[in-house]
Amino acid sequence: MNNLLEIINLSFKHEDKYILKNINFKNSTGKLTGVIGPNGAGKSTLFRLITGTLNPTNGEIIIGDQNIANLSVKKRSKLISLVPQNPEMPSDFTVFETVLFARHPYTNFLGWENQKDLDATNESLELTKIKHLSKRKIQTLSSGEKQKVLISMSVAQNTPITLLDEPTSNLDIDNQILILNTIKNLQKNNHSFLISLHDLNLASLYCDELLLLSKGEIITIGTPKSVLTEENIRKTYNTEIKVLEHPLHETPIITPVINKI
Amino acid sequence: MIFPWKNTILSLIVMLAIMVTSISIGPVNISPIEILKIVTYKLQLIQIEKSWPESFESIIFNIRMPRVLLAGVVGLALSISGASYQALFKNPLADPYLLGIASGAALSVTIVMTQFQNSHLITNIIPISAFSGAIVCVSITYYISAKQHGSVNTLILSGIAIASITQACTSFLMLYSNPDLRPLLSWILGGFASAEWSQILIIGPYILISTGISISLSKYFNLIQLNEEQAQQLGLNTSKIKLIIIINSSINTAAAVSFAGIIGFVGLICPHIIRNLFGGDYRNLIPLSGILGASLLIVSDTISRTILNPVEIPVGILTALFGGPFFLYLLAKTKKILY
Amino acid sequence: MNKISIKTIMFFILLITTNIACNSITPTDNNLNSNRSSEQTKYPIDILDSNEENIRIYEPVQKMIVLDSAAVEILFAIGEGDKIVGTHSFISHPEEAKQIAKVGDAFSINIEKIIEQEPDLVYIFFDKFAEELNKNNLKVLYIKTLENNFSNISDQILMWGKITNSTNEAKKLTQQFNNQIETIKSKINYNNESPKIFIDTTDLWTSGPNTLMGEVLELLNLSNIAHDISGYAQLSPEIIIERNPDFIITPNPKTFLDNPAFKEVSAIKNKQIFTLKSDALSVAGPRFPEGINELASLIYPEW
Repeated sequence: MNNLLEIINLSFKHEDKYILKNINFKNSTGKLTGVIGPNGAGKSTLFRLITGTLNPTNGEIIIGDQNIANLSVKKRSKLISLVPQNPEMPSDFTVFETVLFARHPYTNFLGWENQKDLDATNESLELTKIKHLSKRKIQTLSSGEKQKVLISMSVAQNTPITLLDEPTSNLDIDNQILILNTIKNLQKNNHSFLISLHDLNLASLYCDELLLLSKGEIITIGTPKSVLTEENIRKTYNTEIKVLEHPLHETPIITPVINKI
Repeated sequence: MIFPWKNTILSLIVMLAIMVTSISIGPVNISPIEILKIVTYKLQLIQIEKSWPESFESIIFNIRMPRVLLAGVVGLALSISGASYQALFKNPLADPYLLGIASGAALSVTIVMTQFQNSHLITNIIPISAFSGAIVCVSITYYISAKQHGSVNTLILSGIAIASITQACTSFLMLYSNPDLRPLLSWILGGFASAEWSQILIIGPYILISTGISISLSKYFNLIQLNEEQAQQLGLNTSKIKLIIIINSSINTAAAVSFAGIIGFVGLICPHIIRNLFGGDYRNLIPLSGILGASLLIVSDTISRTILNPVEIPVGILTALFGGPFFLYLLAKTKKILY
Repeated sequence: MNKISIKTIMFFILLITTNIACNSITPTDNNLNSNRSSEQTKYPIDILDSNEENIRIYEPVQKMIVLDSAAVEILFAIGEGDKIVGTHSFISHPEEAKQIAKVGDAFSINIEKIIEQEPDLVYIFFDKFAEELNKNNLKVLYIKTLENNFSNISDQILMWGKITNSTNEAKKLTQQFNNQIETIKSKINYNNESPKIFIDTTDLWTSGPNTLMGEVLELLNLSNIAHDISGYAQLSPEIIIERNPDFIITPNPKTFLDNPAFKEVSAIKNKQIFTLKSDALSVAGPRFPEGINELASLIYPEW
């Protein structure tokens, strides 16, 4: 089971217009893959197809050796977790109770959790370093802390694949780095992360692999260095940039150029 | 998280105590010892000399008991449907009365009462027609609120609009279709003065079944508070759950409105108190606020039938009198959290 | 919120349709007594309304709007019904009154229609619309009828006689009215024990002793079980059981007969539960003695 997530010939059509076209992609275990591309490139649609919120027009999504189209909601919830872009959580619950929600796929019909679920919740709070917040009410948290609770939930859900939809948008740089460091720390074997990011420099710095989408098609997949070239950016974003090298990590840094009109 | 047996049993005991106390309080003075004697006599546990007027038996068994029980089930139904609507709309200000759902139920009952005045079926038709009115109104409110992504203002405003429209239709029907509209008016004011065992037999089953459904689904009520896609990713069929809540709570509201008329704010106050005491987990909230709702309405009704002895005041007036300011307080407080 | 408005509506509907509770008249005309013997009214006359203001009427009123069932019946009875050019939607008696233009109901008046009729006088028994009418330069006579005293019906008859310059007819009607009441009184033996009675308007709403209905019961030597309420209120069902009325008068006997709680009440046990056929008792007008007779005939079989 080398390829955890495999997407074959995936297309999605909405009102006769292809939003995604012929996507082919494999993700081996343990990798943090960044999905980048301009607005409207099809990033959220790709995520929705993987989570099963939308059904593809063509193609297949395989997780491990199972086609997700054939899975029940409950089974799928043990394979894929999603960190949504907007934290939306009931404000009068504690952090612990909220993270415990994520154990839902493992509970019985009436939904009462057992000791195993409590342990898993505690563990994920520790892993995401928010154990100290566990008794706080959601309404008292900052937006960075709320984002961390969402990540902690996905950890507690204990799925081999985690999708993170713009986890750093609306955050200041300190919280952006905190969140991405948390995700980086969670990386381990048998677990794949797919993360969509607007900020190309953060993507370049944190991701092992980047997938550049434009107008519903994959332009290129590869290491940040191979994807973030001046030509690729010019083609997809339609803008002039310069690529530098990070002084410590040797990853590419993208910086704009002032255009005289 | 284990089922809150301790709290539930404790509050059930308190509720029972309240019921017994309410049965022993009333405009006619019957001492608790006499009540005890009458009950044991009726149950034929031990042989007792009959030393009370016949009328006391009637007062206890045919007036106070059905009345306390009816107030109890109506309070339970209103409170649980309030909590369920709050889950559905992700909004602590939802309430069957404020959302115009109760008025919708009242309108369809009015239609039935004015159109089929002398039908013998009427008592059985009432809950069903109340249900259809409730479900139409909640669907409209839900549709509008979903379009606006659950904004508080939209929710409350659409509730007010629906309540105004349905109440206007109700007033119109009352004015122009039936010369004797007093029974209807008296029903609309809300109250338990004409409580009977037969009414409990009609609405009791509806309320108990839908209460059972609400309690068993309360875990899902928690999950729909999350981002919809995330909830689906956690294995929840959100649209199915929402549909169940809408139908189930409308049954509850309709059953409550059928014989008790429009009693406001119980569905708002009770879940809120429980939330402050025990947190927002719906697995706690549903059963406990149901018990609190039953107790609260029993107490209110006891007040309404004793405070101006021998005169009754409609219990709906009492709950509105205390619930209104409470709602304003909540409104002031909630804005801070939601924006 | 809207609930309040329904309650207001209910209040006004009760006010208009069941004048049992409240409708009666205060003696207001200062000239009334001194002018009894004269056949013609000397104009102008002053009538004291319920706001303690003198309403001066300079000549016999020819066109009036009367928003009160009792006043309409009185006017028809003294032969001045044709001077009514507008009334409210709940008028039921006499038959001719149904042809009169409807210019209002419990909640609203149609001010344009009222102005269009160019009335010399607008009569109202609650002051909700007084200000609006005054603003439009209409002469408004407002007599608050929440106070009770059923013998004052004759005084109101005389007042209408003066207003319309039909003093003779009004006097005749008053005489007839008083005679009817006296006849009723003479038929009653006040030394007998008074039977207990409960008058249900609907859903156990009933009238207390200080109301017109309360006085009717007193006249008929009946003991109102709602003797300790004031005005008009909903009586506790258990009080009804405890006080055990011998007679129940109700528009919906079913609500008592179907409820097992009441099965031990003597009125139910002895099948002494009745419905009044006419609405005469709910309008404090000339038909009122008829209503009293109807009630009496239900209670006293030899009536």
